[in-house]
Amino acid sequence: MPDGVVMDSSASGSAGGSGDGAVSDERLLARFVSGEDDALGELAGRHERAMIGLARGMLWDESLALEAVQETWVRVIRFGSGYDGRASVKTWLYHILMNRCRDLVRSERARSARERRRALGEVAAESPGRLSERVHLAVCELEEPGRETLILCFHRGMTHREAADVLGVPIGTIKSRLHKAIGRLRERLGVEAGELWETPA
Amino acid sequence: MNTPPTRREIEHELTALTDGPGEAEPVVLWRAALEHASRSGERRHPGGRTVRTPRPWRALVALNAVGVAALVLLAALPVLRPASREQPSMSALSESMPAPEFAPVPDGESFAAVESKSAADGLAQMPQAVGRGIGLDDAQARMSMADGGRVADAAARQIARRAVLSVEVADAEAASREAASLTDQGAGEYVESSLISGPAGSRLAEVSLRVMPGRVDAVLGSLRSLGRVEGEATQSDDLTVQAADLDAQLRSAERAEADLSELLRMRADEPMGVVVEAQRELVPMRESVERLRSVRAALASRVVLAEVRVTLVERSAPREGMGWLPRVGSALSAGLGDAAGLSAWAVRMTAALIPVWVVALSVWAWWALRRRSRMAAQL
Repeated sequence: MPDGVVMDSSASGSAGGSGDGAVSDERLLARFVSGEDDALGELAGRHERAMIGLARGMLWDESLALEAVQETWVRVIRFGSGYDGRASVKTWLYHILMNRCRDLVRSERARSARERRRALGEVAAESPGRLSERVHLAVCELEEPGRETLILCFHRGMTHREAADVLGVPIGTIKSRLHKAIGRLRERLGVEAGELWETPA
Repeated sequence: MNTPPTRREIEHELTALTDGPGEAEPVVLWRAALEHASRSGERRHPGGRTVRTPRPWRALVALNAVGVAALVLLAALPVLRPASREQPSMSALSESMPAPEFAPVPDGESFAAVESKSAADGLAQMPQAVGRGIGLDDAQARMSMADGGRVADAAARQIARRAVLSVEVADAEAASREAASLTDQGAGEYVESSLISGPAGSRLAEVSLRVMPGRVDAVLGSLRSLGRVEGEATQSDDLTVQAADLDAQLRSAERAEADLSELLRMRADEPMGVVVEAQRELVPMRESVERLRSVRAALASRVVLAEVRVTLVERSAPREGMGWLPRVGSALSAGLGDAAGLSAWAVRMTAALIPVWVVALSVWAWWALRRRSRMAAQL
C-alpha cells in the first residue's frame, strides 16, 4: 500500500499466500513447473482477477485486458522454470503483465479503444455527478510513465517498493512520477493544491 | 457546472479504476493459456524444461539448411583450389599436344628404347630448361645444318618448342588466312596444315604453323590479336640426349656400311655366291642408315622450326539480315552464358563470405540466447 494513500486492501490478502498455513505463491509455481497444472489454477485464483483489473486500468478496453492477462499466463507457462525468486511471484506476474500491457497499448486496437473512451469521457464529463468518467479521462491524458505509476500505486494496496519492482525502476523514480502525475491530475480535475492528498512519502 | 471533487472521492475513483471481476467470477484465462501453450507445441515437462514438439516444417527447414550448407561447401571447393581454377584450359590443351613422333624403327633395335627414354628425359628436363631460361636462339646459333643436320656443337641444347592456342574469332576463314600469312616463307617457315570445318556461324579452323623458334612469341602475339583467347599452352622439349644417341647410332651404321663396302671392293675376286651374299647383307644396312638419317632430319626439323598450332573457333554476332530465330537463339545463348557467369560469381562470393556468415550467425545466436534467458529470468 502506498504510504500516505488511503487504499482498500481487502483484495490483497491472498497475494503472498504464505499466511495461515496457506501454500506460498513460490511453492505453487514450483509445483506447476514440476507438472501440477492445478497449482497454476490455484495461483490464478489468487491473482487473475486483480491482474484483469490492472490491465483494464492500463488498456481501457475489456478484451485487450483479457488478452494481456492470458498472454501473461502463456509466458508464465513458457518461462516458469526460469523464475529465480529474486522478486515475489506476484511482482513477477505484474512485471510480465505490465510488459504485455505496454505492448498492447501501442497497438492500433488499443489506440482506437482509447480514443473511443476519451470521446465518451468528454461527453460524460459535461454531466454533473459523473466523477468516475472525469477521473478516468484525466488519468487517460497523463503521460505513460506517470499513468502507469499512478494506476499501480492505487491498485489493491500495492506499495511504492512493489511498484518500483514491477516497473523495474528505483523507488525514488516512483515517488517523483507519482508526485508529477498527481499534480497533473489536480490541474485537470480543478482541485486546489492541498485539497487533494499530499504526495506519498 | 461541475464542483471540485473531494480527496476521498478521487482516491475512491482511482482505486476503482483497476477493480477486477468479483470473487464470484471464475478465473479461466490461465486454463485458456495452458491450452494455447499445448496447442502451439510449447509446454514444459515435469522436469521443468521446455519441450518443443517436433513440427514437420522444422524438419523441412533443417533439411533445407543442410542442403544449402552442402551446396555452399561444394561451391567453395574450386575456390580452395585456385591453381586448377586459374587456367582450366591449360591442361586440356597440353593433353591435346601430340607426343613426339619419330620414324618407325624395327623392333629389337636399341633405338626404340633409347628414343622413348630420351623423350621422357627431355620432358622431365623441360621445366628446368625453361626455368633456366635457355634461349632457343642460342641453341640454334650453335647448330650447323651444313653437314646434313648433324650437330656441330655437342654441348648445344636441342630444344623443340611447341605452342597451342585457342582463339575465339568472328570469322574463322578470314582468321585462318591471316594466321597462315604470319609465316615467313623466305626464312623457311611454312604452313604445315590448315583445316576448316563446321557450318557457317560456328566454323572451326585448325592451322598448324612451323616458324623459327625466335619468332614464336611474335607469332603468338599476332594470333592472340585475332580474337579472344580461350586458352593457351606452350611446351619445350629438350632433345639433346635423343639427338646425340641418334647421331651415335648413325655413325656406327655408316661405319659398318663403309666397312662392308670396302670389304666387297677389296675381295672382288671371291666366288659369285659369296659376293652376292655380302651384298644381300649390305642392303638392310643401307636401309637402316637411310632411316636413321631421316629420323635425325625430322628431329632437327623440330628443333629448327617450332610448331605453333592454333584453333580458331567462330562465334559470330548476329549479322544484319539474319532471321529472328537465330537471333533469339544467339541472345539466349549469350544470356545463359552471362547467367552462368553471374551464378559462378555469386557462388564464389557466397563461399568467400562464409566467415562473415559464421560471425553474423554467432552474434545472432548469442543475442537470441541472451534475450531468451533475460525473458525467462525477468518476465
